[in-house]
Amino acid sequence: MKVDPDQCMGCGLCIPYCPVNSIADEGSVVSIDQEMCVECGVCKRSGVCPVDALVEPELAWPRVLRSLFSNPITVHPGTGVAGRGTEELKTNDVTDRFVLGEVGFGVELGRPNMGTSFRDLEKVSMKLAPLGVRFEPKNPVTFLMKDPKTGELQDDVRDERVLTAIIEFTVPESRTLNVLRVLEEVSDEISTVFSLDLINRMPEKGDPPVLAALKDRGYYLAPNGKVCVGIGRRGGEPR
Amino acid sequence: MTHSLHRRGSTEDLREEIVFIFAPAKGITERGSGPKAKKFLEIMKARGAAHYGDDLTGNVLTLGHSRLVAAAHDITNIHAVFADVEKATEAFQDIVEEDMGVSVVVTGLFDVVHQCCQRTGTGFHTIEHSMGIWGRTEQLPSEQVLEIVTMCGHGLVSVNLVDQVARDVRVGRTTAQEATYEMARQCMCGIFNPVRAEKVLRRLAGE
Repeated sequence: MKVDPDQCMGCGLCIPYCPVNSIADEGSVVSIDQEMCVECGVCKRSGVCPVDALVEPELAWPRVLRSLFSNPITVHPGTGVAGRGTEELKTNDVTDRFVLGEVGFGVELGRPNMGTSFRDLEKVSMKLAPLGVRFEPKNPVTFLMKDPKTGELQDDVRDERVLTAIIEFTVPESRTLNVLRVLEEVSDEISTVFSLDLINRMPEKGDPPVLAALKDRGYYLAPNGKVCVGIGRRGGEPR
Repeated sequence: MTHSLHRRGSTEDLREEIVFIFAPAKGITERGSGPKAKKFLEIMKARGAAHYGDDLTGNVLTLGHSRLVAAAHDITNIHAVFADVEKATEAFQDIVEEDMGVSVVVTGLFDVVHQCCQRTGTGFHTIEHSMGIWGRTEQLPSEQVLEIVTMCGHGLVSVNLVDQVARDVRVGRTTAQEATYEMARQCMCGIFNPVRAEKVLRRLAGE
């Protein structure tokens, strides 16, 4: 996002709307720190600018990644899904993406409300890759990897910043604790936060066994979460 | 993606909150899902959802119900939040009875979602837990601010905006209701819960 200095009257009404604190008061005008701006479009969409001085320029590669990951109304050309994610568990009753014996993880870099660089994200993905995780091929982050076997990202994307980006992968259930140990180590090496998601297919009876193992080891599992309730059917036809 | 997952709050507050997501699967259930999305929106309105919308079009607070219904088509994902479990359960009963064949996600306290499922003869197919926030957590805002900003999983409600409206409410420059509306309209997809947000905002503003 840019500010048209000829239009801006420096009222500063847009400043609090920026989720990454990139708008600054410069006296007679405001300015947007182009390194920090994640192109989410919130300031402009809020409609608070009385003189329409906020300008959304056409974005070229790699800056366009900022909008693809941060602005929910931008549809990613590779996933066909708006925003930074995939369908993940939401449609698992018809896709079978997550199966018994495996767990799914989402490492949501920059969430909540801090933003992230892809450089930080790469630190995490490169630590995870040697564990033999299967990065979700339809996730927009996986599209940016040189090679999903290493988790290394393309050279020209590392300095881009986004509101959030999700490393999404599955592993055999037996490697769950290895993944968590690696995440504990790397969480000291990054300059942002991540929110961590754990996905399990429900067995016929009882809870997924990995949950008890995690509770025993003191890992936090929130009392609220998401449930795919299994009412989708392939083809979507009536029963 | 996981934008309804990491909602924070006391168990007491979360007990009254249920989120629904109507999620056609690309290439599997999306064809012909547009009319079902419209029906889903009608159910959300009829059963008293606190907020709803779709992330490509916008939310009901800013666009109104008719525009959302008119815009719904085969790739539309609908998101809705209820601030009353009884109303949410009635809505879920309607959804199940409509038998649309499209995947639906229910987000809330697992025991509340379980009760909802029991009353409709459905169950847990796949579940997703939040394992919390890791990394530089010392840079996070206060827990009350987090309770509000995590209601918009896309991260579009800024910490600074929450701080500002809390200050404005405190000094009487605006009301808690108006301030909540200002925050809620930033959340494109409509899963920001204005009822719970107003409650938290009043605490934050010292009302």
